[in-house]
Amino acid sequence: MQTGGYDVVVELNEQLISSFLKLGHCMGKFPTFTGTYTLPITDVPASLSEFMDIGYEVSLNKAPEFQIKNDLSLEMSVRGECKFEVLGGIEFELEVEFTVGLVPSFNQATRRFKVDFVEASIDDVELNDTYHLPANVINKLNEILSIAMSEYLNDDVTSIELSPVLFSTDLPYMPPGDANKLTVGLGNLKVLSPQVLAGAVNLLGYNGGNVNAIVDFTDGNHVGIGVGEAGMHRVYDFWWQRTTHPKTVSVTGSKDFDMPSFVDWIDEFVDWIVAIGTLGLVDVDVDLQRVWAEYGATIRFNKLGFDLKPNNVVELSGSVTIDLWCNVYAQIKTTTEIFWGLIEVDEDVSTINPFSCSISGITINLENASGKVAINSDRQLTIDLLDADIDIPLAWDIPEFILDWVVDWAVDQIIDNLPPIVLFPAVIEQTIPGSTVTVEVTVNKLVIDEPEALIAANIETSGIGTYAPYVGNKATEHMEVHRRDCEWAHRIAARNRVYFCELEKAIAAGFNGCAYCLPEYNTG
Amino acid sequence: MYMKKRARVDKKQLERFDFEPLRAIRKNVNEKPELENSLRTDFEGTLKAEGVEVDDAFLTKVKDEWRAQISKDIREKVSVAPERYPLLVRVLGRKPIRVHVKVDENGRRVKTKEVSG
Repeated sequence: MQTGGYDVVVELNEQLISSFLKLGHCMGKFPTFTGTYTLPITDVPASLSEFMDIGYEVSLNKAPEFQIKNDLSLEMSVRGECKFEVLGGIEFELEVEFTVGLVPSFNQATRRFKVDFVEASIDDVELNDTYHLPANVINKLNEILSIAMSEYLNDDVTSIELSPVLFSTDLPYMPPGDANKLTVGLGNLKVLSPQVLAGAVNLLGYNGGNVNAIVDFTDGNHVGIGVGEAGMHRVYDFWWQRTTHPKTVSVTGSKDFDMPSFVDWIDEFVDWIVAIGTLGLVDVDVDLQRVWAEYGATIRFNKLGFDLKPNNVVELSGSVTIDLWCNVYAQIKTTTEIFWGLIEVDEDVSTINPFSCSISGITINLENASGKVAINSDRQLTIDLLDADIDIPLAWDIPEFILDWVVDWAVDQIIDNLPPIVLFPAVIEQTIPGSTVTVEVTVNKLVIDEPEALIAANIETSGIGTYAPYVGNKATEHMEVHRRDCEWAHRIAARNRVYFCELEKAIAAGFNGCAYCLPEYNTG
Repeated sequence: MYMKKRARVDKKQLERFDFEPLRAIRKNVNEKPELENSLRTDFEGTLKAEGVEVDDAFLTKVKDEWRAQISKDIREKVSVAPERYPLLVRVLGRKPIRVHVKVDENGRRVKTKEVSG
């Protein structure tokens, strides 16, 4: 069992984490941080007090790099740009590389991985060559910077989401309201390897599981999602109790039988119809024009049982209760003859109902039924029925061709209207909350084994055009850059659009700031 | 347009339908051909004239009788060639009709019925 007895285990590859950090950086999730540090010197004369303040401004000019270390601790390398203001107005800049210690977690409410920043340590400080500051000053600046970083990372940017929403809590065909959504609890997290993080949760109040028994099942994919069989049962029970999907259906049908299809019954039919129509008292000429059946059923579906077996075989058991009826009709034309049959007069067309059958409340068991777990088009885990023996105990002595047809029809109605067996809500939601970014999922692995279903998938986010904060117009006569929401940005022809995560890169590439939305960068 | 089957049905071939309330009139029809013409023009009136009360009890009685005879016809037909009517063999033997349903990867459904007695 690779899911460690939890209902749901989600696993995340560091590649995806890095790409989400880049995405977060481009979308401005790492804002510029400013502050003032006051040198801890007492008894400073009032005339010098302004020289005690050191202003700083920290921004990340590059997306952070994420890594899981060999000791399975997590860290993020950040290259930042710091501006200091000292001595009441003298500014200088430093580039700084620092490492942030991370604590990962799986957010039960959002069903996304996130990391919380816990500790910042400065690895390297690169001052611009022009300053030539002495070592003791640099050490002091390091100290200030550490305080600034610590505040920056721990206060302002406390956590970053690292994944799309890995599963929904909405099940299909459910009434509205939070009470009808899955509840997620007992989040636990384990770093499985230098490549993979795992989060484990339970559903609907269950609290079992052993985090140390979780195994990496991503097979190199970006994301793995494992669902334990006990969790599937819990979800299906919850769904069945509350679903709005019809559990009882009433259906009707009719069928005209072409005469060649029941040629061996035609003579009997003619006899029966005439016997009913004339009570056998007169000779009669008759055209049997049409034979048809009208039938219907009310089917009440009961909850099915399922049991996962190796190699994606699911044993199914259960029954339906059915009321079934069938009326058979024949249309005949009788002809009255006079003058010894030389002239035909007075044609009568009549409809006779030789068979009227019904049966109520019969229980039909699904015997030897099996299916397979599949991901449907809405990315939900459901069971597809593959095989079943359906026993229909009919006591209708009606012609074989009608019996055959109605039995087939009834079986089709049972299969067609069988409520889905919902095992798990949609995996990997296709939008990222709070953004215009969409997610495309390619499922590369679906392994169903006795205790669990394991899914592994790769994830592609929509292109930079869906989230970059700056849009440039590369047409040579324009070469302007706009904020994403600028009305002039919307007018740029698609072929001329170029997207930037950072304004500085656009300016460095020769784009002029838009006079409307970026006037401070507009050079006329 | 449906195919039609044209047939002449002689009342003699329907004598297997007993229709107990009509035994007397049936005998009379055989002896008095004009009675048959009268039945053609006014079926219910002629029955009444011959002393047959066409009421609910009468209708129930003849319905039961034609159902019983049709059922007998079907059983006889099946007994002659049971291999041609495997579903009826099961129904008449009070066994359920077992349908095996197989659904392939494309959702196509193949149904086969158990035909063993």
